[in-house]
Amino acid sequence: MTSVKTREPVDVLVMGSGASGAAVTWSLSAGGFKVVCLEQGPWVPPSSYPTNSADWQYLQRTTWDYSPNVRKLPADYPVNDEHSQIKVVMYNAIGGSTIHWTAHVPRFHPSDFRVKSLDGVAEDWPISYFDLEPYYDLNDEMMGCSGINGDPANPPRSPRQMPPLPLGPDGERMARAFDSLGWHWWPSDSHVNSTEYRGRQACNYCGPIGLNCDRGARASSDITYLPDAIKLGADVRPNSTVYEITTGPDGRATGANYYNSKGEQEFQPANSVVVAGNGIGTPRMLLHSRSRIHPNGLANSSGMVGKNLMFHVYAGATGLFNDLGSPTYRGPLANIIMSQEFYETDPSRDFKRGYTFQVGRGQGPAPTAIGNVPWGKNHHVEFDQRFGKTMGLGAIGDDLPEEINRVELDTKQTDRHGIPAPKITYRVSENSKRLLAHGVKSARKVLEAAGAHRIFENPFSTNTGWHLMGTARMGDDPGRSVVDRFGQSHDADNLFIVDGSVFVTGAAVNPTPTIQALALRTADYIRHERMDLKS
Amino acid sequence: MTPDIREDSLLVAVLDGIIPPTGNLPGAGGLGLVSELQRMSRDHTKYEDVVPRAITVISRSLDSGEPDSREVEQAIREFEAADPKDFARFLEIVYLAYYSDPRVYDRIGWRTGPLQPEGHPMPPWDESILETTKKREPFWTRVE
Repeated sequence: MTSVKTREPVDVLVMGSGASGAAVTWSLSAGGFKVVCLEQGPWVPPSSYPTNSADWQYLQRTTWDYSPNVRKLPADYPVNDEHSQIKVVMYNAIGGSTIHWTAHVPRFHPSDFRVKSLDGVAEDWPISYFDLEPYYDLNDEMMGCSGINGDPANPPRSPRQMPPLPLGPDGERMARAFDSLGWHWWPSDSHVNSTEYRGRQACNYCGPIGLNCDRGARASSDITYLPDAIKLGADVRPNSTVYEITTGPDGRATGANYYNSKGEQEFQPANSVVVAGNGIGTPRMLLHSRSRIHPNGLANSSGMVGKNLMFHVYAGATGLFNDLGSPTYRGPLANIIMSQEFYETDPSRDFKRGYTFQVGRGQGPAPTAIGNVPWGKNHHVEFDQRFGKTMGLGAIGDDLPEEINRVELDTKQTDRHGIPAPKITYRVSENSKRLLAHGVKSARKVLEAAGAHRIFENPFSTNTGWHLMGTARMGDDPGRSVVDRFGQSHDADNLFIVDGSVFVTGAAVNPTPTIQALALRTADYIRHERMDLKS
Repeated sequence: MTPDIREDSLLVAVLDGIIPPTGNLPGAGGLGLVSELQRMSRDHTKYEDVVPRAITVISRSLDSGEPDSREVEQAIREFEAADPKDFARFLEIVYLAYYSDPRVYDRIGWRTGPLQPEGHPMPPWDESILETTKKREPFWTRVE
């Protein structure tokens, strides 16, 4: 029989060190709680980032691919997304997917929390934008936000820490195109430094933000929250894969069983468990943590664990220009400007809720060619028309929850430890299809106004499942939700969930700042209302 | 184990068919990318047998003897139509190898080497661009 080593008990065990896990680890450590954070991936040394290698284009498609099914690194678990119209992407390391993100940080709108009341779709959140606002601000302070006040599409807010990233001649061209149509645009809020911030250097605009850099210009939780958390006493353990959240006879969480960095099984007892494994990893672990008291999986008396998976839907268009003056691969790939002209529901349109436009730049040589430039006789002409001469408009659409879209445990595939892989079932709704069709048509108008001489429409993007939301949603009704308004499980009062799983709706913006704000709010609740969890 | 990629006349012809010569620069076949394709195939499972498989499939569409460039192009098209997924992976590794070559970088004006630490210079943020959009009244939906 395998012996399982039992570690010293702690106040809080956090599962996952990504955007939300790191924020909770920091906040609770600052509150004097004894915290252990278990992360299945390793620390990623900045020297290993692809931007330091001449081979970065190859790395981007292999060991730094966004899909765990392509990377197949030891920390990755397979994801069966055969029955999903959108393919899942994520990164597993200390810092989670913030190691590999583009750091675009728009906030939800107040209306996103009230879609049932306003538009008769999905459910209202049990909290409001204004409940989260102070935590958005705190998160911006920790991560460092480049941006500027005055956006008419969003509520007024505190000043950002740094001015916006420069738009460049290409970004300014797009801004004027929006102006000429009378449509909203605003510089994107970004967790990329436009100036030096807290010892991290300013961005030098090399291009692909998602590949990270050793300047520390792009925030990720391994270089923001976690160093501070460790100074405060947090024990962050890399290469530690949880395979079961354990519960006692009363159904409350008692800790977690996991494989340590040597592959040995250990038990970490804790007064409470905070799950931060993302919208796929969290339901996977809850469903895998079955027991006599929780026969359908932990925190799943409602049957809602794994259901209501949301990704965000993407479509858009790319324009070719021959008069921009400077190659469009110079400057951050993303995070230029956004438009929320079509964000809120408009009864004159044939869909509910809306989308945000994000403006993107051109890329390096191989990414320009792959998937875009035909092979054969016309290859060079087509490549030369595109390289350094493209601007893209992506519409990121509100993806309303449906129970049929879900995460389950796969009956065949497992990770290297034998833990079942997640199986994803997801179809794009009719509302989303209509919304995206509107987005493509509008994108064409903007690119025409900007002077593009050729435009390529992209009616739907497949490999964009990087926003993982809704699979353990919050709510006041224990029969229809998994956690309450503070992220506390309805079934076990010392079990908390803090990642995108708890989203009730997905809004039409990148979710990370909202995930982090929710995590900081949950941590604040534990610090002030759950002192019973502190030894 | 990754199968060897042989630099035979068919592989050269296929690579030239995918990316033909331009100006003074040879096509992908004439550039001698075999060792790079071999390395890329060896270093990650994603590409491990992509090139030999593609050449085997393409060769099946060709008569014995030296095919001309039109016949090679037709055989590539047949592969593309019959197995778009495998073809896409083949095209991807060929594009990666070609667009990682310093001689190609010279032609297209891309700097050789890593992206860091040089980056790219950009003009500073200029707030005057906001003049028009700033004049708009707030239009977000007010709700508690």
